[in-house]
Amino acid sequence: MTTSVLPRPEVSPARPWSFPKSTSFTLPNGLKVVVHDLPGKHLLAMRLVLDLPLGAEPIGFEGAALIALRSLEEGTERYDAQALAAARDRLGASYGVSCDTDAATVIMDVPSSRLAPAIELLAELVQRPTFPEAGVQRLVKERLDAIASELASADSRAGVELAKAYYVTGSRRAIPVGGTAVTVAAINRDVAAELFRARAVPATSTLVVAGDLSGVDLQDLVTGSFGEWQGSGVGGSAVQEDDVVAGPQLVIVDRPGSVQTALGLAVPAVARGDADKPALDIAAYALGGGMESRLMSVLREEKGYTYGIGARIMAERYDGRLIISGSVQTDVTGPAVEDLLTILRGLAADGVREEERAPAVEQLAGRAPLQYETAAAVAGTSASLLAAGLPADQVDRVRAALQATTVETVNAALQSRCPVEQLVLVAVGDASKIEAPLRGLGFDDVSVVPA
Amino acid sequence: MSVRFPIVEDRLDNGLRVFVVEDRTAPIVAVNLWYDVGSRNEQLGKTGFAHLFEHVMFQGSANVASGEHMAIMNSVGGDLNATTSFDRTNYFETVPSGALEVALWLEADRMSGLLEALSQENLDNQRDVVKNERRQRYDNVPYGTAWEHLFAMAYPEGHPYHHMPIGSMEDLSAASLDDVRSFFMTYYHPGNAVLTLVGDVDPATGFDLAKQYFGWIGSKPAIPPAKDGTIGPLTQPVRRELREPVPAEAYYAGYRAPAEGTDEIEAFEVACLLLGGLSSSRFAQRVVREEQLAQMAHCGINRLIGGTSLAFVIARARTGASLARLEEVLLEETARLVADGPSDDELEIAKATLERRFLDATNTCAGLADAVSETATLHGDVEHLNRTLDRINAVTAAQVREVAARWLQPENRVVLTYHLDAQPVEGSAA
Repeated sequence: MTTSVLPRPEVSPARPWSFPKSTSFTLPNGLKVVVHDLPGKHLLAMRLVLDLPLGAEPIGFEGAALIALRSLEEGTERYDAQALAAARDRLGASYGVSCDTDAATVIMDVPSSRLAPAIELLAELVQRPTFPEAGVQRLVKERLDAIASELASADSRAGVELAKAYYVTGSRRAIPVGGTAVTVAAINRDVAAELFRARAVPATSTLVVAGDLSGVDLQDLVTGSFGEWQGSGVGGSAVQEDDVVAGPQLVIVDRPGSVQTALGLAVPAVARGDADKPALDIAAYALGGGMESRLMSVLREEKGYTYGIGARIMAERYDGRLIISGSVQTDVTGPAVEDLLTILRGLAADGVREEERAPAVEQLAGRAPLQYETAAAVAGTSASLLAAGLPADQVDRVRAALQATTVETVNAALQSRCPVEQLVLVAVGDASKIEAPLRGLGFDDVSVVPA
Repeated sequence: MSVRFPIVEDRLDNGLRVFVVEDRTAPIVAVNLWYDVGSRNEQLGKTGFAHLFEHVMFQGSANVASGEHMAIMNSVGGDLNATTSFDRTNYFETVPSGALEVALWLEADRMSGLLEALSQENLDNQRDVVKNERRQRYDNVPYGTAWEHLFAMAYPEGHPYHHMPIGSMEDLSAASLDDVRSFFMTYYHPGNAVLTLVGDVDPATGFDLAKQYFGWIGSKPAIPPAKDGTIGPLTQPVRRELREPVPAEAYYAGYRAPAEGTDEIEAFEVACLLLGGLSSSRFAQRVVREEQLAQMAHCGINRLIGGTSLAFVIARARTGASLARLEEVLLEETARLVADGPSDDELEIAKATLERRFLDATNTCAGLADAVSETATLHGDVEHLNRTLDRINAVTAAQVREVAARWLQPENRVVLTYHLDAQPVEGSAA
């Protein structure tokens, strides 16, 4: 074998790219339609954004938004559940629903050849749902079983317990999106139907369509399907809640026999549209973004404690958190968490270095053309920006802001906006093995959730 | 809908096959390398080795420091990863087009010079990481070892698909530096690899770059052929009952199935979809919506090249439902498809779904590049990929009924049932 004499090639500058532009129109009933025409993208994406945030759920019935959205598939005035399922499959559609603190979204992706019937089906689901008693009851029972499954997985249990510890009791955000066993059991078809009908109205809804729309008269199609949609809802957006518990706090959740400990850590950070958000994204990337991040290089590549551990900013409309999550081997949980805390505090104390900032910018800003390659990715981000009240060119603004950072601006944001000493840490694992070492880490506020 | 990707092929003198698909939609290029080695090539006592080796490939090579491959790719705004499966190990990156050459240089450096950077320390570290991967994905997860059970039950010891790519803790512990060296010498060379570039590059430039970065690497002897795994349906059902801390009782069944690339595979895929791969599938309608015995009931197929594939049924019981009754109804629905085949409407629905899946899988530069490498590695003729929709559309109702009848009889199953920790095992249906 010959040894390569080729030097490492230089990287030439990236070709300019910007987030795909949109056009829009509004139907007489108030439904807004946002269109991203993406030549060559024949798998089309539709996102119908409804003003149905989690905050709209009646207290005590948390999870109702998700049940209401899933109920759409259980029957409409024209079709029963099996016919609706067959109609989606016949279009080759992928379909789903989601809801968060900003809005609810109905998702449908189809090949471009089937756009017209897909829009018609989407309109049928949203305009004429019947919320059949038996179907809604079945969804409630399935959701209760799903909650049991989520709590049985160490990773998702850590997420649930982290929200519960980080947000004050009574806050919607202390409860999982899909509710708890108690709140879900209280939901019936009337709760679901009332919530949906009050919030899913054309004047506060937006349909985002992305993909190759050459030769398509979208206005005509949407008018034909959604033109008769009527209704006026209660409107109003979810209000900001000051609902964060001040740490430091450690919660140990007993999961006997667990061969790994699932960790979840949260620290207050900034809102999605905050001017400091790009800077904190860079700090989070240096902390736990890639394999070369501080957490991965020590906990995985040096010590082999974990398959993976990561950090990122999870920002919502009004506030956000720095989140660290990952699983470590049970018998090294103490030393692993000690390393994790040392690394986090070290970053807060000393800040990021230029050799961390520059590649983080390239990764966070430079990979946008990869990230938005599909119509689904473009439509998803477009819909989510709308729901959060952020401008349509937010992706480009953030990329510019990332490029404009310096280590000084990153570290100033880290110092002033990310109080790491208020951290809340959850460890889901075998308490008989991890409690003593974790108690040795110096937290004053420690609680143990029994199995 | 007709889809035909303009796949252009070349072959370097050292045996490396190179494919380029030009697509100027975005300023990005996907680089994808398939090595024709997976867990089916492993020997008894050395399970998990192909995958452990994949980890070692990120620990540096002649001109690249440990971890630098990922760091460079991240720092140019690229995505990268690698996976190991039964039939392959693939390495891939998607980069802004200006970073195409550095991606090729990195892949060439580890194809040629991995051993120059190999150390006991790196091997030991990645062994610990892989053991934690196993814990995270298998051992610490409810039902996490179900696949391992199904493959081990469906195929006899010594069969290439008897064990999973993750391997056993014991075998991982035993892996040595010598194993790494001989694995590299045997499987990692140009003649055992396929390189695909998709995106912002024209074929002539792509081939020139491939030649420049990979052309100097020496060739090695052809790999020893993987053991032939050709095997027919089981004739006696095999059952295993587990009592574990799971959130719900569950039924898992495995069926040996037609291998990837056989005449039966597409019809078999349709059968699986109609049973349990669609929102409107027979399982979803009957056991989820009508009788409410299950939270979910899926049927699908792990398509494998080595003489057999493994089809599966997975159903998780609703609280309070009888697992025995659930199994009985799933068998009834399967028997109904075996007896009557699909309706014309069902066939149309399945084809629409398979078309969408194909469009989904090839919808990104990275997805298409992987599909091209896969087709070239497993089938040789890359036009096989461009005929995918033709094969799907040619499936008839009679073929679906025939393959179902051949492979999906109750006695063709291996069955794994999960029971709640605190309850006695209920009587099981045969």
